[in-house]
Order: sequence, then C-alpha cells, then structure tokens
Amino acid sequence: MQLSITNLNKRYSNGVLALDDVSLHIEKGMFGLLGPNGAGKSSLMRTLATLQEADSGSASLGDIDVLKQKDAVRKVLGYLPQEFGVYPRTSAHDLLHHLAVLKGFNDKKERSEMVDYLLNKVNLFEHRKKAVSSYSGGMRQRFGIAQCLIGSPKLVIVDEPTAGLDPGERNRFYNILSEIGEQVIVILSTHIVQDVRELCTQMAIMDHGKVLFSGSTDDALTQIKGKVWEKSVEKAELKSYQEQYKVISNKLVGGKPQIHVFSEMPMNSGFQPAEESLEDVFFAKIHNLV
Amino acid sequence: MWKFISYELKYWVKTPMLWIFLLIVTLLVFGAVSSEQITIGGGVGSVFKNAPSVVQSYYAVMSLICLLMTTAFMNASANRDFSSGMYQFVFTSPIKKHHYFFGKYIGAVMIAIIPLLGVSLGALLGPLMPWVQPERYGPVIWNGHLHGILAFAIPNTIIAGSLLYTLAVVFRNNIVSFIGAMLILVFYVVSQGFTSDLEKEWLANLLDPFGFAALSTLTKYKTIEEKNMTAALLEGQFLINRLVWTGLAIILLMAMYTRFSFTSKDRRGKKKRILNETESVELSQLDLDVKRFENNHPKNFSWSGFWHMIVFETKTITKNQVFIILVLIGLINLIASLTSFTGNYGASKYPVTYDVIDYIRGAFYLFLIGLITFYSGVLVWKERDAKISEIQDASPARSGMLFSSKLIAMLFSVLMVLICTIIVGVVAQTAYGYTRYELDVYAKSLLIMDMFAFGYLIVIALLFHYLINNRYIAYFAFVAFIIVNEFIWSLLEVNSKMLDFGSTPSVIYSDMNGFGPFVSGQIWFHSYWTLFSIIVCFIAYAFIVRGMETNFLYRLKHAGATLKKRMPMLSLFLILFVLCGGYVFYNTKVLNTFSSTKAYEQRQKEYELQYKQYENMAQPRWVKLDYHIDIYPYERDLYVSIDALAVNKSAEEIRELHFNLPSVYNAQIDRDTMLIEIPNATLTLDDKRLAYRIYTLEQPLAPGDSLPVKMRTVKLTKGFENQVRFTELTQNGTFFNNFDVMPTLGYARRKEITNKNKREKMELPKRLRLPFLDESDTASRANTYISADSDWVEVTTTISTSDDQIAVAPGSLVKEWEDDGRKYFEYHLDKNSLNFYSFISARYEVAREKWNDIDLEVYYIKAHAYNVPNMLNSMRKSLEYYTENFGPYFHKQCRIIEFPRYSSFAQAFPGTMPYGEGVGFITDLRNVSEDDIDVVFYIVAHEMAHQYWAHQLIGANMRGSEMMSESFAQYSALMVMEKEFGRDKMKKFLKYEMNGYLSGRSGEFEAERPLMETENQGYIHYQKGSVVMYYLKEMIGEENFNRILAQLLEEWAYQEPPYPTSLSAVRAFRNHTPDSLQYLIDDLLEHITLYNNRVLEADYQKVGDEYEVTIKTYSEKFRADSLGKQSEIPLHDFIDIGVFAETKNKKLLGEPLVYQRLKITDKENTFRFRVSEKPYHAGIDPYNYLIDRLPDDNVKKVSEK
Repeated sequence: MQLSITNLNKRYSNGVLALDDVSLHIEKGMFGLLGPNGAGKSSLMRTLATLQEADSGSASLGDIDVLKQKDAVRKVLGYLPQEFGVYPRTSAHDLLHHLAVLKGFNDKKERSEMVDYLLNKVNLFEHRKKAVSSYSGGMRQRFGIAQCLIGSPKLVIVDEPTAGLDPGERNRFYNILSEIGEQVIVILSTHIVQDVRELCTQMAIMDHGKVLFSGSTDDALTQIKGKVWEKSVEKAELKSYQEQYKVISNKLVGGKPQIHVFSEMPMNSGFQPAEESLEDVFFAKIHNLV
Repeated sequence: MWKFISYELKYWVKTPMLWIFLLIVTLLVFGAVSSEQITIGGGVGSVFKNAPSVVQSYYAVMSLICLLMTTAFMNASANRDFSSGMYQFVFTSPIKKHHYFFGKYIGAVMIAIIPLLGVSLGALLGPLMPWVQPERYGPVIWNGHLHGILAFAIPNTIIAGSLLYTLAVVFRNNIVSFIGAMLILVFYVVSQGFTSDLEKEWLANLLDPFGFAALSTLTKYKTIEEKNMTAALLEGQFLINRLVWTGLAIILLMAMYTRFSFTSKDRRGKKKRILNETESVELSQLDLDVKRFENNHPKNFSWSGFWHMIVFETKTITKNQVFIILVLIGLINLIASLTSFTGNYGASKYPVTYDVIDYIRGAFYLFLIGLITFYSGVLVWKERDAKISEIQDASPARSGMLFSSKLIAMLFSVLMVLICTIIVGVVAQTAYGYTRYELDVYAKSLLIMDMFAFGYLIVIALLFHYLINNRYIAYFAFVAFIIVNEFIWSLLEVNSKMLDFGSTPSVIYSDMNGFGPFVSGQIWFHSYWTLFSIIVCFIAYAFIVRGMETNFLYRLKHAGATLKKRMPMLSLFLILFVLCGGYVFYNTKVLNTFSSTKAYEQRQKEYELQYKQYENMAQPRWVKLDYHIDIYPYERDLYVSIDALAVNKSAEEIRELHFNLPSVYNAQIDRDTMLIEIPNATLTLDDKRLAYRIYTLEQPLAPGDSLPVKMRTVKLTKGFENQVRFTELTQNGTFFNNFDVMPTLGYARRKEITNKNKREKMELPKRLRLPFLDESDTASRANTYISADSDWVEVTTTISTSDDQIAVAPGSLVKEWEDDGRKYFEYHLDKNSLNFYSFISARYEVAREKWNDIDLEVYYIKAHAYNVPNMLNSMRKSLEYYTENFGPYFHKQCRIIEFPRYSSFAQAFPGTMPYGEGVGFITDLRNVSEDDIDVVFYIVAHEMAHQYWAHQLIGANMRGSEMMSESFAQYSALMVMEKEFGRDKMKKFLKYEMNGYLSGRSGEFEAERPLMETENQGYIHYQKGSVVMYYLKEMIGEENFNRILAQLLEEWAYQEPPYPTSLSAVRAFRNHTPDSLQYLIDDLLEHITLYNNRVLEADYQKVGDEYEVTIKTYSEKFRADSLGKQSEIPLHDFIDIGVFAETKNKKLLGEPLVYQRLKITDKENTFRFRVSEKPYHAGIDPYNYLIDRLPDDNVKKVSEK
C-alpha cells in the first residue's frame, strides 16, 4: 500500500497558504517531513488524518480516496497529533479502552487483550492504573503511540512527537517508532533534523506550504556534498559576511558565531569544508540556496 | 494600598463587562418603572411606580440578581494575577500583603456596586418617558435611593463579595466560588421558607443574607401613603440583620486574610506529581514484530460499544465534584423546604405526594436547569478541553454515536437527580409518619412529564453548542432562549402551546381525580415536542464539529450532505412530526378553541361598551327552577335542561328578555348548544361572540305575570385542549354551580374588567367596585350582591351520573334509582334559597350523623378520612351555638363535600358546603399544641355560619354587605371555637387575623374602606372583621351581641327586596350599645381607627408581702383615610391594663394578677397596682384587641426597682 498526494492546495480563511501544490509519494517505512514551524506540515498531516479539508488536489491511500472516504481512512489510521491531552483523572488503561471503543473494538475480551498488549509494548503496563495526566512527557508520547496502534493501522501519522522530550525519552520513543515503520507507512513530521536523520530513509522538506525537496536522505545530502563551508567569525563581522556570502546558518560555538556558507566553488580565506548534514540541506532549501 | 485599589478601578472601568452589567440593571429597572409589562419582585399596586419604597425594594432584588455579577468581579480580581501568570512578578516585588489583599478587595467591591446604581438611573429615567401615565408617579424622593444603597447595595455587595473573594483567593478555583454563590442563595431560600409562619418570622429576618425578609417584615404594615413618602429605615431586626451579615462577612475576610500568603500559591503545581520512570528500555527487550489486532467487526456500531460510551459520558457528569456539590446543595435546599408543611394560620398539612412533588419542583428545578446549562457545554467541549479531540475525530467512531451518547448521558444524569429527589421525598413523608407514598404519582410527574420537559431543554442546549461552536456564546444563547421563550409568546399574544418551546398544558394532580382531564393533552403535546426534539437532534448532529473545520459555512454545507444521507430516517420523523402537529392543531384549534388574555379582555371591554345600556332595565326574576342534569364523568360530558319560571316583579311591562350565556357556552365551537325556549318570543339578537341574546316577547309581560322558560345546554368534551378548561366537569369530582350552566337575566356587571389600571389603559371609564353605601339607592338594593336575576327560589333537581358515583344537588334526597346502568337522584330544596348552589358527582365515602332531625353528612374520599370526625363535630357544635343564639336552621341537612383541588376554597351553598381537597381534608391535626388553631374546625364553623349570614340574611349589592356575611360568619365561627377550645386559643387566631388585616391594607389597590363599607376587600371583611367583631363582643357582651344578630335575622331573613344594607346592622349595634361605648361604633365600624399603645416602663417594689407595680404607658389614637394617611385624634377610650404572673409558655401571658378596663384620655399615664404574687409582665391592651401596628410593645417584662 502506498500513499500518493497530488497537487494538494489549502488556503486558510485568514489568507495563509498552508498547502501550495503539494505532491508526494510515500511508501511503506518511515517518512520524515521536515520543515520549520508554520511550514504546513501539520496542515498536511491533518488533511491526511481526515481532520481538515483541502481546497483542491487529491490524496489516495491504496484504493482509498483520502479526501472523500473519510470513514475508510479512519479505519486504517493511527494518528498522534502534535499536541494532545487526556481527560483528567482517567487512567491509561481506561482511556485506552475508551479509545479502542471509539475505533470500533466492541468486544470486551478482544479489547482487553489488545489494550494489555499495547501497554506492555510501550512499557506502560505497570503504570496503567495511573492517570495519564500525571505521566511524564515521554510516557505520555508512548501512550500516544499505543493509542495510534489500536487496530493495527496501515497509515500512522505522528506530528512533532519528540518536542519537549529529554534525550533518554526521545531514544525510547524512536525505538518504538522504528519498529512500526517496518510494517506500515509512518509519517513523522518534525522540525528537528536529527529525528529524520536517525529514523527515516525517505523525507521531504517543506516551507511556506511548498515541498522544497522530497526523496531519500542520501539524495538530499548529495545535493550539498562539498558545497558547505564553515568559519568562526567575530560578532561584529557577521553582518558583512551575510551580505557577502550565501550564509546557510549561523550558530554559536563556544560563544563565538560560526557560519555555514553555501558555495559551488571552493572557498579559502579561513573557510573550512564542513561535513555535510541534513541540517545544512534543510537551511539551504528553505533559504532557497539550492 | 491605594495603588491596588486604583489599579482595580482603572482596570474595570476599561472593561465592557462593567458597563454591560450597569446597562442591564438600568434597563430592567427602567422597564419596570416605565411599563406595566415588566415587574421586578412583584407588582407595585397603587403605590407610585417610583416611590422610595419601590426604589429601595428594587435595590434589594437587584442586589440578589447581581450576585452573579459580583461573583464575576470578585473571581476575576482575585485570580487575575494567577490566571495571567503575573503573580510571579507581583509576589516577588516589594509589596505588603495587606495592601495587596485588601486593596484588590476594596477595588473590586467598589466596582461591583456600580452596576447596582443602574437602579437609580432606571428609576430616575423611567418617569420622564413620554408614554407613561403621569398620575402613576410621585416626585423624586432621594431617601429611597439612599436607603437602597445603604441598606442593600453596599452591604449585600460586601457580604457576597467577601465570601466570594476569600473563596477565590484561597482556593483559586472557579467551582468553589460558584458553590459559594449557591450557598448564599440557599440561605436566602431557606430563610424565605420561614416567612409564612408568624412565629418563625424573626428567624427568617436573621437568616436571610440579603435582608429581604427583614425588609418585608418591617414594611408589611406600611400604608400606601407611607410607601409613597419614605423608604424603610435601618432599624430593629432589619438593622440587626444588616449588621450581623456585614459583620460576619468582614470577620470571614479577616480570617481568610490570615490564611493568605504570597508563597504557598501554586497549588496546582503542588498537587501534580509527575511520574518518572526509573527503568530504561532496552531495544532488545522489545519484540521486533508488532502484533496485529484486526477489528473483526468493521461495522463500528454495537450496543455494547454504545453502552460503554454512555457510561463513560455519564461518569464525566456524575463523578464531577460540581455536579455532586450542586445536587447536594439542591437536596439540602429541598430538605429544608420539606421541614414544614404549613398552611393557613400556621397549621400543618399532611405531606401528600402531590405537595411533596411541588416542593421538589420549587426547590430543585432551578438547579437542574443550571446543571443542564452547564453540563451541556462541558460535555460538548469535553474532548476539546482535554485536547483529545483530534484523536477522537480521527477515529472511525460514528458521529451519531458520539452525539447520542452525550445526549443520553445528560438525560441519565438528570434522571438520577430526579430519582434522588424522589427518595428524599419519600423519606420526608416517612419522617412525618405519612406512608401513602404513591410512587406512581412521583414517577409520572417527575420521571415522565418533567423528565421529558428537561429532555427538550437538553436537546436545545446541545443544538446551541453544536451550531454556534463557541461555548460562551452558546451558554448565553441558551439562557437567552429560555428567558425569551418564557415571555415572548404572551407578548406576541400567541397562546398556542405548539409554539412555546417544550410547553404542555399545565397539569394539576388531585388525590381525588388523579391526572384526570389532563392525560390526553399531556400525551399528545409530549409526543409533539419529543418528535420536534428528535428532529432538532438530527440538526445538531449534522452540525457536529469533526476535525479542524469549524467554519460555519463549511459545516452548513457538510450538514446538508449529512442530512441528505439520513433523509429516510429524518423524513420519517418529519412526517410523524407533521402528523402529530396536525393532530394537536386539530384538537386544540378546531375541536376546541382558546383565546389569549388580551382577546378575552377585549371581549370584556366590548361587552361593557355594548350592553351596559341595559344594566338597569327591568327583567323578570327566576322563582322556580327544575333541573335535569346528566353527568357523564368519564367522558366529561354534561347535559343540562332547566324548566324555569320567571315572574315580572317590577312595576313595568317587560318586552325583552336579555340573556347572558354561561361559561360552558362557547360560541366558536358549541354552535347552538344553548337552546332557550320562551313561548311567543323571537330571538332578536344573538351575539355569539359576547354570549348575549335578546328575545322579544310578542305580548309584553305584565307586572306580576309569570313566564315559563326552558333552557337546554350541552357541554361535550372533544379531544384535548391547549389548556384544559372547565375542570369543574371531570372524571371523579365534578363540581359546578348554577352560574356555570345557566344563563342569567340582564346585563352582568361581574363580567366587567375590574382592575383599575387596566381599565385606564383600555380607556374604560372609572368603575366602582360596588355602589356607594346608600339606603336610598333602591336600584342597588333590589339585588343581593350574589345574583341579579332572582330572590329566593324553589329548586328541584333530577341528576344522573355513572353507576359508581354519587351525585349531589341542593336539598333533600327524595328519590334514588338506577336505570340503564346509571344512577339517578332527585333532590328538593326544603326552603326557598338564594339562586346559588352547586351540583356534584364523584365516588364518595359518606359519613353520616344526625343532630335533631338534621342529617350531618361528609362526602369524602377514602384517603382523606383524617378530619372527617372533626368536621362532623364542628357542624354539630356550630348548629348548637347558632340555633341557640341566632335562630332556626331551615334545611334538613348539612353536607360537607370534598372536591378536587383545581380550586382551593370552601364555600357555603344552601345546606351544602363544598370543601376543596387541599384545604381541610389534609390538614394534619395529630400534633395540635395548646396554642395551635384547628383550622378544619374553624372553616366548617365559618361555612356553617353562612347558612345564616348570607343564606338567610343577605345584604344588597352595595358596599358593606360583605360585612354582614363574612364578618358575622367570622364572629360566629370564633364563638363556636371559643366554646370548644377556650379563650386562650383565640389569641393566636386573632394575631393572624390582625396580621392579615394590616398587611392586606398595605397592599390595597384602590382605597381602604371602613368595615361597614367594605367592597370585595377580604382583608377587611374577613380579617379586620374578626378582630373588630371579637373586640366589640368583648366590650358589649356576648349575649347582647348575639341578641343584636338574632334581631337582624328576625327582621331580614329570607326577605324579598329591598335588601338590607350594613347601615341596618350598624344601627342595631348603636341601639344596643351603652352611651359610654358609642364611640366604638364610630371607631370600629364607621371609620378606620388605629392605636399606638406601648408600655414605657414597668417596675415593681416589694412592700411587705405584696408587690407594688408601677406601669408607665403611652397611647395614641389615629384615624386613617383611604390611602392610610393618619391623623391623630383625642383619646377617650377604655383600654385594658394588666399585670401578669410568670408563665412557662413563652407564647402566652400568665395568669392576670390585675386586669382592668380603664378610661384613658391622656397620652402618657402612670398606673400603680398592688398584687400579691410576684409580677412578671405588665401591659396596655395586652391581648391586642385594638388595631396597633406595633403589637409587640404593648407588653413588657416587669423589673425590680
């Protein structure tokens, strides 16, 4: 089964163009959707998750028309929204049961078996009697994954799942995600480049509602291979560098600005070749340098 | 501190909320002052619409309504720094705790008072409007505004504000504040419950946090004149109430201040404990495969899943603390109101189920509407509040299931609350030792009828939330909808209950008749609204928000598609709704009719304008009537035919007969169901609309000639009505009188509009309630005040009913037989009587007794046997006293007959006294203490007395005649009671009568009259009558008094016109009153006289074995005019002075040690007495015989010098 998105457009009532002619083709496996905040990632995810309409274009999941056959999509969908909350004073066990009922698991025995399995799977079984609202960020995201997996979805959409997690929690979360990615389509949206680097083979970069790049992570890196140069500069000089060169990014290293510059030509005058990273691809794409 | 105050002031002044509240209050008061339609806390009667007392009472009511606003201000002020997160900055800056705490408090209180000032704005602006009638307004009197602000606006804001502010500061929880506001309301409601009992009035005065009860106690005897001139000053219990509550509020504020601190603030953070795992998860521990769970039932719907959802949603409501607390408060409120079942004169009633149900409705329904309002929003927004909506919306769960599970959860919760109230009701009944629970009545009233009504509200609330998709606007819209729906239809003069959302014909449950005539209307109207609600559900469901698309146009489009998909189901319900609506319309509009009050009044006006010209036209008078009545109680059908004989008693020839058709006649539907046959007469005018007919005789009827008239009428019940009328004809407990079925002759003055203001508005001339008292007005003396077309008539009746019922008509039962499965009875009236009697049919038990050849009978239902022996006893005792002291009783029977509680009175017809089931049959006399009044005994004695006073001696249609019926009946009943229970019992009774009179005159609509000129003024001829007659008897002696009455009877009983006037009675009293007491006749009967008697000082000194008591008293005597304006007159009165021994009974005085009737001519007097026992109380007019607006200061404890 594959997901193809063709010429999807969406403009919000406030005039913001959230999706601008988006076309993507996504196969089984982990797919990373990279973009800065406000790039249109969530709009795309919500559209795929049947929560939002598109103005034009189409999307299909196998035989299913995602935009029209919402019920059919919902039956094979696992969705973890960017921000989600839980009912107060409701335990993980009860809440998962409730969500399983929503997904149509009406048989109590079958449901219990699945809920217990999923809680085990995400290592929350021993905390199942506790209120989800008291969980730490990582536990809560794993609960989110557990609810995603109810009913063995064919399409899993996770929107910015690692925001606010500490490194340990993030690792645990990745482990679970990567397992799922072996069987179904998993779309992971994030603005953290590292997430994509570590998990995904396929990816797309979005900004201002447009897809700037889509393909494998390796292809992405190839595009800037040998064309990124770095240099430590003084704060006072920063401005003149930005005027002179195609600066991809600047960040502080040891309190001193370090700039990455895109150049087809080899550079000297203190510029060193930088090791190419997805981050540079990301910034180069959104700054329209490539 | 000032900077916090000024910060609050500046902050609020800029918010629209403050000004919106001010505008609302101003508009409300403006509306009440400048129009007749809007009233706040009851109408104002004859008092100026901008009188100071009115302004003050508006301040009182508004300070209650503003409780909600105060809550908003206090909460926002107290919590603003927290909700905005500013507290971290504020608390770390160098400020003083008390500056912060009190500064914000004072600022918020000052702001919360501002909206209340709208009362003054509205009251000042109202009278300036061009459309108002200037005579309804007085000058601007500022002390009303001042005392409104001082006594209500400021203290009530401080009281509510302190509680709400401290709750908000300490708990930082909206819910706790909300509960606080509810608690204040509960105190208020509970205290209101005590006001009806005179003995507990002080408790109400103290408990009421808003001070209403104390205000109304203080002002209840105020005359119109006084109300127009001044507001109530802060004094007595009113002052105490205000001080106590304000004091409590400030103490609370101080106490909470000590608990307040800047540091331990973030309770939320404290409460929350974040779980953190310790174990790390190794990749290798996990299976590499994720096990697959396929859903084997792809249909997405199953009952078990649905049930799970309902339970889940219901738990959201019922496990929430607000719900639990609200229900508890409601239950406490209910229990408090169930603690007393008080009827008239402070007597208890049996807690019959329908009464308990009414209490439940009164105590609980506001809470339930609040719950529905609040939780409809909570449930609809639950997912979005918890931010789980995206997960839910992306799940394959059906929207319909999500919607209906919420709907059913709401219904369930309301149902559970109602069941709780029933349990409380049953427990309360048990606590009273009453075990006839009638669970079916509870279930039908609360769990079916009311439950459906709440269901409609729930559906509408959900519709608003789904449609509007903004919680606060939806809340507002729902509340506005309820309020608008409440009054808009009467304003638009649309009376059909098919438009007034959720309304059904009102139902009165009766122990006698069950739900009787109301059942079919209820079933159909509820079906109609249920179908309507189901359709509304479809719409709400179609507009459900799923996903992020909240744009209304998008949802509208989507809703169209959804509805199209549901078309088969929807159109089924639409068809059912239209069919049901059509059937209801057919029944209420085609088979039956109804008209608005306005239309009815318009007809009254036309009637008066068109036919008043015939008012004094000579008409023949009925002398003999033979009724044939067939009652079909279960079909609610009635056939009446009357063979009557009328005689021309006038001196002129009569050419035309004018008929007023009775109330059963309805021209619009019962065409020609009133047949009138007069030999040689033609119908020359038939006004169906105004129910008036004129027949012209071929041969004029000469004076003294008689004319037979046959009248036939049929009252058939067809289908059901918009509002059940003519409940007089019903399944078990048919009870109607002759005016209901028989035409009257000549113009009927009783059909005119009586309300003074209404007449003015409808541009009708001023109308006298009754003609002036004038013995030379022979036209008015030609009729009694009961009927205008007959004098003493002979009545025979053949009446039939179903075979399980007994039918009763006036007079002796001559024959009884059965025919064709129906029972027939023939009655003959033994003595010609007034043309005013009733016909009754029901399944009765009968208790019979004989007293000197007179049959004493009580017709009652089995469940109401409690007081039957007591009634028989009262009839016996009454007959004994009356025959001995007044004269013979002319009928051969005395009957008390129970009738359903569609009306609540007891009435005397010749020999027959129908008595409403709610009036005396369920009075609880099991624990009558020594000073309690046996109301059942009293009412029977009173109605028995009417067999003399009204049915033998009846006054002319003129002011004062009611004195001879009602005041004499009150006196007679008092004497029978005094003989039965002793003098002491009279005191409580007279106290209630005095209270009734004084507060009655305070609410007088036109003009207070002296007793001998009373005109339809119950507080005068009943209540002042009791007080005055009893006192007069005290002064001139019982024997003398009774002789006067007996002589009046001898002269006037059963006499043909001209009928006597009250002047005959006054003359008789004058003739038998010694010269020294003649002033009593002036004071008591001819004028309105009030006293102010008071003991200034009372002390004693022991002299040897004896005690010398010195009493200083103060007395004033006033005459009042018709508006209550008093002027002082000199004293020359005999007033009682007494010294009393100690007593254990707090409510009564002890043994009199000295009791003298002394002539008082000075205002201040000092009396000295020697008594042998230690004195305890001393008093002037200690038993309150004289009318005195401050009766409590007549007696004082005696202290040792």
